[in-house]
Amino acid sequence: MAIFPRKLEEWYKPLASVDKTWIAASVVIALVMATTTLAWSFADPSHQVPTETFEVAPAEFREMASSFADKYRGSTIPEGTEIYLAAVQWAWIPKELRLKAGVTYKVVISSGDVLHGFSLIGDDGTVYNLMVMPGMAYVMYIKFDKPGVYEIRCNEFCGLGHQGMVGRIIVEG
Amino acid sequence: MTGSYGVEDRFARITITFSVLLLLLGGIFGLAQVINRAPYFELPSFLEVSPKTYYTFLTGHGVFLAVAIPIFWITGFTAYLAPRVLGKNLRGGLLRLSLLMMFAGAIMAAAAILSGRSAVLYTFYAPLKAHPLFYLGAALLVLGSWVFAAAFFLQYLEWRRENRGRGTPIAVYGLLTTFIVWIEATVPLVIDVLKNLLPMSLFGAKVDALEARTWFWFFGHPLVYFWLLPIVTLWYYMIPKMLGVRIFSEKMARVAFIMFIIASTPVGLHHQLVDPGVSAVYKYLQVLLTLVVASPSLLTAFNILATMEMGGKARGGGALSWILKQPWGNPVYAGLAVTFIVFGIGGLTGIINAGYQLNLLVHNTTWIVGHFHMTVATIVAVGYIAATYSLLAELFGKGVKWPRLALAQPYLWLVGILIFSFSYYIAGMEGAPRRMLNIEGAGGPPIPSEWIYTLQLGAVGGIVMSASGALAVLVFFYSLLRGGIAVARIAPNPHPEEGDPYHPLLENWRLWIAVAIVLILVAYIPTFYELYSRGLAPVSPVGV
Repeated sequence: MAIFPRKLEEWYKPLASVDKTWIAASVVIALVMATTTLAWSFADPSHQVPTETFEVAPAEFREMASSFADKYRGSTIPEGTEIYLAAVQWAWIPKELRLKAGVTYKVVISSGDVLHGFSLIGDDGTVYNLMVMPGMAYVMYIKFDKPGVYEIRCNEFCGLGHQGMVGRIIVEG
Repeated sequence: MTGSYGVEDRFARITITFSVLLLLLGGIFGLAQVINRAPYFELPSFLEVSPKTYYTFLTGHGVFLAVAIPIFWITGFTAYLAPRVLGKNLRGGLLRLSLLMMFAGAIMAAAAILSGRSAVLYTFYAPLKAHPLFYLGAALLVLGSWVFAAAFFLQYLEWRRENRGRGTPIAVYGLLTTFIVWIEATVPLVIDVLKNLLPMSLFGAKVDALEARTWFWFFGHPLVYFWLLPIVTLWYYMIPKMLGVRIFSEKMARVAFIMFIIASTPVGLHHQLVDPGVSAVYKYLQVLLTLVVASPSLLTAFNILATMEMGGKARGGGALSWILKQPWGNPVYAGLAVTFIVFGIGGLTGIINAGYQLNLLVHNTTWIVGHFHMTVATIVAVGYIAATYSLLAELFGKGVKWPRLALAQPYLWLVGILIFSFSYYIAGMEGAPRRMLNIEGAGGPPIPSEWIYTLQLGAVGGIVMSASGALAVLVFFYSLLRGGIAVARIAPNPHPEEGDPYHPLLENWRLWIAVAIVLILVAYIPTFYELYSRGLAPVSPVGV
């Protein structure tokens, strides 16, 4: 059997008009949704998936984040500092970040072992979720407008201690 | 007529009974989870589970209910229905081989899970490592289902040679679509298992996490349509049959199935919208294709509702009272209609998950859990069970012992799922993570108060859903013991009034499979080119 039947008139029987209308309507609905979700990328640049990524070995990244954590433990991170945040079984390194409100920070985030999830949750209703993959780093530029406390919870299953993997960002005025 | 399908019927009786047993086991796991993850639920100590047990149950819940049941139930259902519709036998040797492989695979995977050494959850993302039997069992189960698919395709091709110029009956049309999508889905799974997961688990080989995850979702999304398509088939086949009318549009039904074949697979990246290392352009391309695959669902919604309206009016209903004139008192019809309604809501929330930006908000939250319990869980626990009620008479020769309880089951589920899923939707929008044992016990900061009442309410819904599942299991096994009455006839009517319409373009499987392959290549070649040309970043496997 060939891919196309031999003669057009053998198979060409038009659909009824109500069928055609509904098929067209369903395709139009799909296209409208596709356009809206694309348009939103341009309309609201504040809530976007970061597009800057690079490859990094998990052990190496863990080291970078650990020395960063040692350097800034308990102190506010100055403007212009590149922040390293590593997700490992079962903690965030560093566990706590002190940032200044109104300042844009460059945050590099990756995993030291398996898949993790970066879920930023603020009491102002902020919810922002990204995947954290070993071998691949995300570069984010984040700015908090107001002082407050934001939790960082792991939301991708990463082993038996997954539920205890909580960190936080303290935004100071 | 029944006598001539002894081999097929034995196959179906075994796989369908096994599915109901798995429903019992997976359902118990589900109940244990939903009550253990609700914050501040005072549980008696024998109901509290450790993290290891919790994540083992969670793995079993997903693998048994969402992978094993569909494979066993759908092959069994097809073995029952396809021979009766086509009037042809399936090859007995292939059926036996397939049954052997599927059971061997299921037992291996179940042993790996229940021993507590494979708590990697249903998505088994590398580099988290499970016991090798977990991957081997999964692969064998899938290969066994391929042997069944081969038997089904051979039977159909034979029928087609003998019936040139006849349209494929809608029931077989839908089941063929199901198995074509299944093959599309499982090729990437088998590649992932052989290339990445088995070497990782057996020899500690390094694996690229993003590559493995991309193969997984290449499989994981069309898997969703494998669950769904037999139920879409049953909507198109059983609802008009029970109402005594024809499908509103036979052609549009077939157009919908073809769209499922074309668009089910090249959409997996919508599960990876927030993954690092995949270009935003390729992600968006698959968002677009995902929204295209919403079209056949919209076509189905329209066509089935129009069929219900025709049926209701034929039974004396008016402009709106046709809704009341549906056979709501029949357990099979009630089950299919409840699945239709709940799937409709669940499907709409799926469009939100697939939205390029909205995914940032709901990714890996309980929103997703709400979504797939309205879709797949309802399909399994109400849809498959509804069809099983009618098989109790025809296939098992028993009938339903307690038809009133069987009727209560889908409605009880409807109540439970509405409470459960809407609570989880709200919790998810507030950021509550999925796949997590008792959050408040983790020693972190206090949890947002919105999570507390929504997750507790979710547990209430989950308990009602479990009660509905328990009713289904009880009715099934008690009916097997005691026998009862036939509730609906699922086998084709002996003398259909009209033949199935013949549209050569809609019967041209080769063309549509070719289109599907082209679309899959268009959607995935750029992604894999990006991965491989950049160079993989393999990482060492890690235990749970």
